[in-house]
Amino acid sequence: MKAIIENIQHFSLHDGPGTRTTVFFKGCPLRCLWCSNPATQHFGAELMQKADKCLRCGACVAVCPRQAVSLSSEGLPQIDRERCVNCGLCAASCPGRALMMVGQEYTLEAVMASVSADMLFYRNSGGGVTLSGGEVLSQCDFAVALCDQCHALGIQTAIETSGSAPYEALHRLSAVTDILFMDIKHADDAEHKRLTGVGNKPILSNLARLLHERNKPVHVRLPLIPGCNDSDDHLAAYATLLAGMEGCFDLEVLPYHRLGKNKYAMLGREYALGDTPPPQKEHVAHAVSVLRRRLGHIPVFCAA
Amino acid sequence: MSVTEKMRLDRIKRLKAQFFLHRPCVCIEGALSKTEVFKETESEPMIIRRAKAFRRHCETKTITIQPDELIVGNAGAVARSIHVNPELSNIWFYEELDTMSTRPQDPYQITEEQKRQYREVVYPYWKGKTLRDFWNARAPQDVRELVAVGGVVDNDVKIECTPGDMVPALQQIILPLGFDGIRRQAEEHLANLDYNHIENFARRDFWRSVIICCEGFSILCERHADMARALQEGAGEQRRDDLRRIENACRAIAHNPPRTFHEAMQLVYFVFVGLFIEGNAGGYSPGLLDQYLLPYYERERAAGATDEDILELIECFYVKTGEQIWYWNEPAARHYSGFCAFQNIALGGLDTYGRDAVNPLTYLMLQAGIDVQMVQPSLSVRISKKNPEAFFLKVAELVQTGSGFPAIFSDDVGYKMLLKKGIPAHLARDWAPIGCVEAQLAGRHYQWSSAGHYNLGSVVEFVMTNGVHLKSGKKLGLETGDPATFTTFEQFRDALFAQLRHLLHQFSVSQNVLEELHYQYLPNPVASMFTVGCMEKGLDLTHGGAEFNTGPGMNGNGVGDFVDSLAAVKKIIYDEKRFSMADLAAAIRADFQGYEALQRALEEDAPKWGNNDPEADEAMIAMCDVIIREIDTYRGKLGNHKLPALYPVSSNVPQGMAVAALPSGRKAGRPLADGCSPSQGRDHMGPTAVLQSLGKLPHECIDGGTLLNIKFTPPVVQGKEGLARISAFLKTFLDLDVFHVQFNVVGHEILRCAQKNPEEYKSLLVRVAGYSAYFVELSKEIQEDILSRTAHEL
Repeated sequence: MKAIIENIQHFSLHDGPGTRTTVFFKGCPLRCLWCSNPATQHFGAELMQKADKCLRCGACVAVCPRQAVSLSSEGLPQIDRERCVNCGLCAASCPGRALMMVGQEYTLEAVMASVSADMLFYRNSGGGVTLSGGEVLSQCDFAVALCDQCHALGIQTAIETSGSAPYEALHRLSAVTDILFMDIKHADDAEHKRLTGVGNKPILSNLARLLHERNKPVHVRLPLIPGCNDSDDHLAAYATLLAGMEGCFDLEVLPYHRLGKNKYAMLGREYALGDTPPPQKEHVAHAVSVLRRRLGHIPVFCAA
Repeated sequence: MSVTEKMRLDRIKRLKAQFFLHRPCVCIEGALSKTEVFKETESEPMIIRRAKAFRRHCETKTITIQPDELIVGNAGAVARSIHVNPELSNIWFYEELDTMSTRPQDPYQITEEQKRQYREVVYPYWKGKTLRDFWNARAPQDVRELVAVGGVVDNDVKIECTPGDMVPALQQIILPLGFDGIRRQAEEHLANLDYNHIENFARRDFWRSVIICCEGFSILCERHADMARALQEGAGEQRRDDLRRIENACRAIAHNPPRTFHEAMQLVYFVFVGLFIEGNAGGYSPGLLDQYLLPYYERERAAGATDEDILELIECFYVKTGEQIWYWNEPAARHYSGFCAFQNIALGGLDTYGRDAVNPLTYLMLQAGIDVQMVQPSLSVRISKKNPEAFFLKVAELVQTGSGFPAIFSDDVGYKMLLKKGIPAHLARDWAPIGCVEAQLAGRHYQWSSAGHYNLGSVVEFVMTNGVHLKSGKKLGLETGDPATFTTFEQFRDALFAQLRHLLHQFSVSQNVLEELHYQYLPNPVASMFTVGCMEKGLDLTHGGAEFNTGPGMNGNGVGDFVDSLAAVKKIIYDEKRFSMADLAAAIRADFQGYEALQRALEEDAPKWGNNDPEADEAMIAMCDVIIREIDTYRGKLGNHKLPALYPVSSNVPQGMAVAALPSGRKAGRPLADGCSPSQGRDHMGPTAVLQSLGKLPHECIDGGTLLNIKFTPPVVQGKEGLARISAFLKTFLDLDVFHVQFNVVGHEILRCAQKNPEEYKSLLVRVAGYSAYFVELSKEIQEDILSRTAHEL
């Protein structure tokens, strides 16, 4: 069994309790404008370019079978992303490691070997493994098997999901997941579609069913994005929507950050949010208070 | 009346401000009086002459008591003055008289009058009589040349210094006996001497020297008491009260054992003043102070003192320890930078019989570290799974401050190191780290934990150059053949290990010379009377007086560079055959100019130490195996086993300057990896992998000490979660049997700001391998080295 994985990150701090290893699955049905992990959006390996490492040897131009690489006036390769099919030949021949492929197929054994290496850290910290992405539900069979194997070794499991998948997948993975984080990014279907590329109806319906059937809490997350979903009006509607849900859950607000911005350039893409600054602390606190007022007994928190 | 928290913190703030007003300066009072004494005593034994010089300085030195102090005294005339020992440093001190105040690393202020006196009075007498002169005359030529190029084998630490690598026997000798008690023991030994046993002449000299030194200490205490009394006139009411306390404490301990916590603390401090008067050295370490002082704490609390009262004294003591300076010539100051004397206090851990030793004083001494945040003392903790969680969290709280303290040690690994050194199990639990990371049996042990550094990077360079040191052009290594002729990896590896054994051998020879010289010329009565065994045997430390003798530590630099080079050659050159050995040899000589593709392959495609990578870890084990087995055959003057050691102080930077490009992909002149830490920026798998790689090192076999630095940015350690995270990390550290770790919590922006505006960041502490230093007092290249280490930011 194999999965396409973007990265396995050890000593993760923000993806659940304790010291964790986060497995970033590659590929996602959503296209959130603010996505901080753009390299996890496409299924399959992709070409990434780190211009500052280029030795200007031109090997990439020579090796490309589709003439997708040309040299700029400064001697740096320019990749025609329309022509490029991410075959990886240029990356393999790049002596400076300025061109590299992101995303790699892993067997279940390889992922398990990597995550189980930090066993002692999990035990001593109450940590474990977090499956993130990308969208982990898109590679559900692998994810379920991975969680099963973790449980067999006594490793706690967590997932971070957008909930955008057939309910069946969510249901199966939830059953082998100790801690479940699920994003609800916008209360309005049309706005949700504008901001993420998909509507929110199936997601909300998944959440409702999950809350009903899961015998552990669900941690709902709201990425708080300036100008997208942080207005008082939206927050009020959002809180009302959640308040109508039945089941055991809490809400965490994740303030926008732009640490992933430079990756867009490396992938030859535009960053939709441009120079949007992260929200001020006061604004985040205000948003949390608006949500709290309307959510009553449902806990709302924000680590930032 | 008891002190309040505000009063205490205000006092410490004032003391710190006062501390930073003192720029390190020169004191030659001791050099002048020692010259005088030596001229008067030409016919007397060396140990008596040195004891008399000690006493004379105690009698004649300037006594300074500064405002707000509760703990008083200095080896030199004033705070942060270097007490010059001409028998050690005469040559360079004379040569650098005009430049020492302006040199880039660790400058010392000096007056024209001091320069004149040194030139006219001190220098001429000691000319030709220093350890450096003896080294030049006595060291075998090849070893002298090897050392002379600088950076391949450096051994100034035992040419320019006395052996400061010790914990004085506070618990066994000093606190219970006091100076008169020690003196009485010597007198009793002297009373019954039969000179028909010829060795009794030397023993007589030893015991006499002890009596002279005790007299010196008593005089020193009395003179401080007198000064405190004199200052009471005209002092404000509150200060008069302080001065009365100081007077009483100094008067009491001038002869008798301490009764109060204040007296005990002052006595401990005077012990270190005395050691610094006797010799310029780093490493003089208080040891397990929370255990030694617990009875005084308990007595005082029972008598009505509060924790605030005790804490104030501890904090006054901490500020004072930073006033002692281990002084250095200009080139060596880069190896031991930061005006730091490595006075290591080790808290927590287990007691003699393996029970949890954490006590209320442990927490106060950690709290003092949080409050004071000075470069000294070097605060360490010995941790064990038997220690309570509250202790782990308190340790984490100190880590959070970003001061680089405490250095954290596995109590169990330290214990095993002592067992390997031959210390019986019923004593070995009382080990303490001295200096940086060197495990010693507190109070009973003579061990040069450092007698210099050798360069593992040079070893790799020599195998690539057939023994030539590229920077100097000299042949310093073995001729192991043209590397292009090595057709198999095994040939390369065997040649590399032959170079390694050869350099270890030469380094050991250099240490042997130094042991001989110390044996003949540098008895140390003060250090000796503070070590269990010397009194009974009537022998100085250099002659085998101590109960246990091991060392010297043979300290290697560039672990990561050596391992990464070995692993890279195997993979890129021999396994994958992507480049030839001839290419690599040429690239090394060209510093990779024109060989960028090769360099990138070595850097990026080869296994690197510190990533829990089995191939790199295998290379590490292979290296350790050679080092451990080779050094296991070496013995010193007293039959002492030499010790493998892998900690750099800050010498990974200057030693890096002596090394050409390496097969790891590192360019010429760059800093070497520090201690056992991964090469700078090469630990791309994060701190869990670093720790797991380190867990594969046979730490207890590298019983001279191993060192790991991990740098965290503030988000990793902040808040309650940060405390829990650090505590959990340390549990895994224990599980993996790693010996030492220190955390550097600091952001790049802050360091850049500090480089630009040093005045504003005067008290910013950062870690430089095994100790903390004031960042702005470090030279530019060491600052850059800190900046280039990978920050584990998420």
